[in-house]
Amino acid sequence: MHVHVITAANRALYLAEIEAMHRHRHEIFAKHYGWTALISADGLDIDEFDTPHTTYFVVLDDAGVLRGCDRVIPSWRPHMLTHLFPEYAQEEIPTGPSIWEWSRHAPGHPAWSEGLNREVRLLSSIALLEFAASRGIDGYTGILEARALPMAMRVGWKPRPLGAPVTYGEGESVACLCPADLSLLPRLRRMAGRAGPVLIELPAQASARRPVELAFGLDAPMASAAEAAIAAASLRSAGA
Amino acid sequence: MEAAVSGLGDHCLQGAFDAIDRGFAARTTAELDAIMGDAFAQFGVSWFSVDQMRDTTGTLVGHHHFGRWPEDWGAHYLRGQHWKHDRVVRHAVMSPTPMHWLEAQKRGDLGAGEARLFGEAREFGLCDGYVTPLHQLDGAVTAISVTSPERMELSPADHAALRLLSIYYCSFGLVLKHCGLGDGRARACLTARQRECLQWVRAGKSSWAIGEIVGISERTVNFHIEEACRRLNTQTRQQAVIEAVIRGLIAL
Repeated sequence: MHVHVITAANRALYLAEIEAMHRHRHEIFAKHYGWTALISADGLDIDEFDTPHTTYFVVLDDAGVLRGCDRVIPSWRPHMLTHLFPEYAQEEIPTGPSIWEWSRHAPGHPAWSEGLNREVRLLSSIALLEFAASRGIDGYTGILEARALPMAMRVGWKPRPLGAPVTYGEGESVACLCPADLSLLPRLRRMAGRAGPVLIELPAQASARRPVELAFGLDAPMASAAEAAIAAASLRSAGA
Repeated sequence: MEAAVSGLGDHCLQGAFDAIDRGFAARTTAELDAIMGDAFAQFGVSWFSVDQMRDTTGTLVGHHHFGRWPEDWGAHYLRGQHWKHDRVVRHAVMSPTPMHWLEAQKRGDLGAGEARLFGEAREFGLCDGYVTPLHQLDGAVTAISVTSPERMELSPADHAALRLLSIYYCSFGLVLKHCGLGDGRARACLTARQRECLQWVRAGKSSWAIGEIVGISERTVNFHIEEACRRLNTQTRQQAVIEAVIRGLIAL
């Protein structure tokens, strides 16, 4: 299992994963969390902050199946806290080259095993820290659900509140700044049973092969993750 | 005394921010209670408690997690299984929005048993309170109750600061509890190997020497000691030794 960074530069390699991500987000936020405002007939969660410039982390398992995702937006571009929910912050909202906003945190799925979900949660946090290291990010701003705070803190995040909690339909949320504490990385990697980085950032031109093909060492590009999985299965049965 | 503390406005929120900053450094629930207790006191709050009010099966429960709470009231509440007719519990499991006790008592739907319970609480010095429910996705409901021996006159800014403190108090406490540092079962917070390594550090041995003695690599020794430092929340191995001795984890 690895976490892939999808950026403006390499998103052409990830069209199938991007669609799977929007579908996963709808599944989690609209169906499971019950954020009714996000329910959409096409089963995709896409909002005005999903642009070609938005950066995503997608957790892909060894079969190329999407197991979780996160969204980050640099604070010098329009982002939720400043442009949609400024009332969440009474403190000045941190912005600048070393601050990015983190949103749509959707690691795992309630129908999957707790072991898998735990690994995906860990990888997602590790990925955010590794990305912070690569981009010189000091912290991520974001709106956290109160009920999610203990889980985030247990991983080691120290979300500092930027304002009073806001009550919405399903509970309380708090605007926070989560400092990117790189000293957490060794422990988190150990907890996830990983010796090295989990983040993969494919350069735009380096390879026509996308992660699904890379996962199986296939040379020809596949149209979708599902196709790649079918190809892998047939390879396996041919071998047996 | 007429009405308690009120109207500190933005100072309250700033005070909550400061307390939360300090809360991140708390290593035990006793430290946490001291830090957050000071902050809660700004609102006239003298008792605060985190309780599970509903489990994942949807059953009402009165499971007290942690907090500073009058013991006699806790025992009385448990003995009578009072969560079954507690207006505060009824609200908390029905709605994720915070509630001031005073509002609940004014509502027309207050049952006789519920009214009686508010009266009994008053006799134990819990005159007014404020509850912040947290509805988990698995159906469980945890709530933070803060109470005062007097009527709480709260401005909207006070409400906000109290909710923020409540949410963070609950989160800090759950994390400490999860790490085994909260309830005095400190021994469980270090593995046998970590204690063994620290014991040799105490005896003045280097990582290399400890590795030779214990029969593991120097690298693994460093890993155990590093992890012990993290669990004991110390910067250096010397501090970890001191902390472990204080907690009775290793012999002096």
